[in-house]
Amino acid sequence: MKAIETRALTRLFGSLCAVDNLTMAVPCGQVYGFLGPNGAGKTTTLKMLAGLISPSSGTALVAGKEMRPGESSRELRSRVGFLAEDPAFYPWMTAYEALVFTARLHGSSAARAGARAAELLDTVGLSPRAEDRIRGFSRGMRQRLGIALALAGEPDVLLLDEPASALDPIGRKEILDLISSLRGRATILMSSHVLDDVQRVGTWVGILDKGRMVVESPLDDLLHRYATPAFHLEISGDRTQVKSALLSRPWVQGVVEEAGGLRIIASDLQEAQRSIASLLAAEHVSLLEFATVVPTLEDVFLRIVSNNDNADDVRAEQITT
Amino acid sequence: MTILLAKEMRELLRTHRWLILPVLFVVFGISGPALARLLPVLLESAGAGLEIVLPPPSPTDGYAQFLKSTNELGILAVILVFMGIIASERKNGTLAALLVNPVSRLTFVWAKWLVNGAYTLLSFTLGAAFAIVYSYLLLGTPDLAALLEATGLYLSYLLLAFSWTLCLSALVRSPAAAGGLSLIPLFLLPMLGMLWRPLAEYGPYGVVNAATRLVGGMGTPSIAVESPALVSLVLNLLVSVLLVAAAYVALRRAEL
Ligand SMILES: Nc1ncnc2c1ncn2[C@@H]1O[C@H](COP(=O)(O)OP(=O)(O)O)[C@@H](O)[C@H]1O
Ligand SMILES: [Mg+2]
Repeated sequence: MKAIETRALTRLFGSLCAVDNLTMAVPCGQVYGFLGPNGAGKTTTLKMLAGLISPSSGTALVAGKEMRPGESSRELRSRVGFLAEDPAFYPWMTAYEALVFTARLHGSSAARAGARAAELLDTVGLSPRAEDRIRGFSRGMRQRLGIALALAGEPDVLLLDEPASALDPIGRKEILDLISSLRGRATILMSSHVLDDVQRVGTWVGILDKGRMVVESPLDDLLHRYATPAFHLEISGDRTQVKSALLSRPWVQGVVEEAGGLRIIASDLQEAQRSIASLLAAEHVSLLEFATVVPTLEDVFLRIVSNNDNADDVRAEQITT
Repeated sequence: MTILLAKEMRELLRTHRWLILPVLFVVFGISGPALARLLPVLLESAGAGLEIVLPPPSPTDGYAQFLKSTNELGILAVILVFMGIIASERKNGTLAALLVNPVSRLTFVWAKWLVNGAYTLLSFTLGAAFAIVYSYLLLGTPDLAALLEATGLYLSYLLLAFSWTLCLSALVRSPAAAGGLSLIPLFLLPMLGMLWRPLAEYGPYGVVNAATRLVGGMGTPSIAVESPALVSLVLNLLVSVLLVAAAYVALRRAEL
């Protein structure tokens, strides 16, 4: 059984299809990075999984059970923790009170809830501010409190909507470290439009674009699959001449100029590694740096999302002609 | 349920909302009898030369003045205090944050109604107690039974006004719109009552008319409360409960 699953999940807002026939599955124990540009439909999907809005069609499942707004999914909610994109709190509560309140709503006794609250405040580093009203909390503190609240009911599944996106680099690192530390305690579905965040903590990725799932796979597989045999080359001397020399070789597929040097896309990796030195020697330039390019999620993302755009353009052209 | 009740109570206390209504009603409760006592004196001194013959204030005049202030401004205050009771929670996201937990939406609505309804009724009762005590002090011995019956009757109208506001706050997303809509029957009920007599007797406003008559010394207390007013009272209580149910129905499928 998958921890989180959607089947042909669709959500319309008027005529706008925010989530379009989305089928995804998050295996238990994973940190699933739910990636997509702004407006892709991530928040809408997470809200359906949290039972805050209804699907127009299709189903959202948590732990194999259908999640829907209202009474029918009340029990199921006790297994889910949710962090909203812009989390809201009762400003008049203290951090400690908010945690006790939430734990109590999940059925903990007063004593158990108190212990849980103290433990969570410690986990998210808010112990010194436990007795302060939330009203005065900074964005980063609110985000950490939001994660603590999502954990207060000891959920099996954590839904985090852009947990790090609105934070400065330090706050972002704190939150990502926190998420990393939760790995194994719950299955985590974390949406983001920041690829780097997902690459830092994720184990699985799903890429959403215009409400549709474009790719879904373990992170390593994806990087591997979309890895291009590319090198970064820095030389002293005439670049243009080297460039044309490179392009005449059968093992070179393409050469692009990039910051500080050239990027070589090789068609034959081994041959490239073997022959590059002699080529440079023949051109009388000295080698400053030669490195294999490690693909980032960003490379993959841009390729996939732009492919998708092209596909749409082609379709649009066909319609107009 | 108890967790949500405790939360509502604590919210009432922490946000200092708990002060507003008791203070307002106590002010009405003191100023009512005081005005009734002072008005003839003031008029006399103002129109020194004129021959204005005013009957001395009756001991129930103070309470009548209290009821009038309540009906004009007190209800308005209740609407203003509670127009956002659900709409604001929805607007600022705390309702969504609450309902992702295993919380029943029905319990949520009931807890809101119970705590804040009790608060409203207790505030008015406190004001009425002040009005009665100050009537004794300033105006002489009033017909206590009449005043108590008037208080009881009016409480049902107040509860209805509160429940109506709560219901609209669940139906309408904007607190201001909920407040605006809540005001409409305040003007409409008395007016329609003038056009159609039974509405003024048996309708929601029946208790207000009956209470006004009681403290105007026109009722005959003890068996005093006329049966149409009793019907109106029972209807007010029933409709209040129905309005809470309607608030739940509005929230049951609400998108957050
Ligand atoms: N309540 C709503 N009413 C109308 N349109 C909405 C609503 N919520 C989201 N949308 C639209 O649905 C699309 C997807 O939004 P969202 O799920 O918030 O995307 P993301 O979280 O990936 O940025 C957007 O075009 C957005 O404008
Ligand atoms: Mg979003």
